[in-house]
Amino acid sequence: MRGRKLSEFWQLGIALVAFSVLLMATVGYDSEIDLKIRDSFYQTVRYLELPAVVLKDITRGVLLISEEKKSLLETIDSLQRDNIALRLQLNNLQSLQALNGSTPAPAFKAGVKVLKARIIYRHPGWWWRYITVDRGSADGVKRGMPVLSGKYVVGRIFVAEDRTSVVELITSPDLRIPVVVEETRDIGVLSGNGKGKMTLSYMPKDVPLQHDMKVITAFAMDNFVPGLLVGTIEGVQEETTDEDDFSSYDVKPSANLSQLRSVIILEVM
Amino acid sequence: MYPLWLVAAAWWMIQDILQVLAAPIVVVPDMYILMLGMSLIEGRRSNTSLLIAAFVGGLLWDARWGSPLGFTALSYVGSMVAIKALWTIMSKAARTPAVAIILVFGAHLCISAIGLIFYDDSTSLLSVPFVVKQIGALLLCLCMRAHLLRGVTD
Repeated sequence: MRGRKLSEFWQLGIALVAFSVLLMATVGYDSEIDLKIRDSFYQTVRYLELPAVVLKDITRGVLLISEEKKSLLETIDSLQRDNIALRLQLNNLQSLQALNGSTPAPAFKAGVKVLKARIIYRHPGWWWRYITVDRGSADGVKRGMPVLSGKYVVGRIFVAEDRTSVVELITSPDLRIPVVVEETRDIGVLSGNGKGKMTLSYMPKDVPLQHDMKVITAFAMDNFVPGLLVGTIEGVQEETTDEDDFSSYDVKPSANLSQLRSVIILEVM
Repeated sequence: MYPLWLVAAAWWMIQDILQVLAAPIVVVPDMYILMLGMSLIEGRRSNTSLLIAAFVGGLLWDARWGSPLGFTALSYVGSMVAIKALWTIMSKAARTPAVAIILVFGAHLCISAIGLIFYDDSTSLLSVPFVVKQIGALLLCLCMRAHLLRGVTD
């Protein structure tokens, strides 16, 4: 009797191990079905987690935010919105100036709504690639919307489910953003290295970039509006050979991606 | 004795809620598998039910906390099989509470280490949380030993 039970245990163990491996192989990470399952499960479990979320918010509120600080944070929030709007307009003006009297670029349709979102998980294996936030298509989130932390770009919406969205971070090697160096107006492509930093490519060699120069988003890509701060130049990459006409630079993200707890989604209209 | 599904659901929810509270600063110990491991050694519940609970709990954890679907389930089931195998091949004299704690804690350590090895780019990032998680797991094992194994292996 005991031997039979033990035998059943081993058989079930092997079957479940095999099934788990099969599941990993067939479903895949961030596939459509994987996201659907996670989104559906989060919708169920979030009500059970609500007391913990509330407790966490209250504790943080009590510990960190006094009334004065709260007021200051609101002011900062409002100023950041103004800053974003001004940056967009400034970039538009600079684009028009660059055209130097030729056909003017279409005026930027001002109207940026912001949506605050809380990070609900960030998997260690994809730490510098993806985060998942608690806002989804039901809140008006769409693929491609820029995601900010304060006034700095964090990434863009990769997938929007009903109640959750996956944000692809700027440090992801799969995300390539057209950017401008603010001081020189050189245009290049920024991509992540998957380890918390980014690489700015296609910079002309004859105008070397200096440390701490600002890198901002360039012309529109999907909903990615121009003029948003992304990072600062850290230094030229050593591996660029002398034969190349262009240099690559290391770029440090302006947003502190290690301490992200909440983000702002820009609903660009 | 409460039904297994109720105990499992309660432990899973506690682990989940603690993870919500602690994220992203600390990673909580896998107390769910610690509880199942201890119950397996205790031997009062059906072993196959415990194995199914490990699989389901792992699968739900994957669905909630973003691991590839099946990864935690595989770790949990694998560790349960390993615990059972080692506990079975031991002589009765060797089955002491201290060995039970080492076995369950060892399984937890392996699960965590596999996670780090599998996602190697996060090794440096999670070094402090990893130690905190293991200390938490060890303390929990000691507490569970006092509760679950009372009068069984003593």
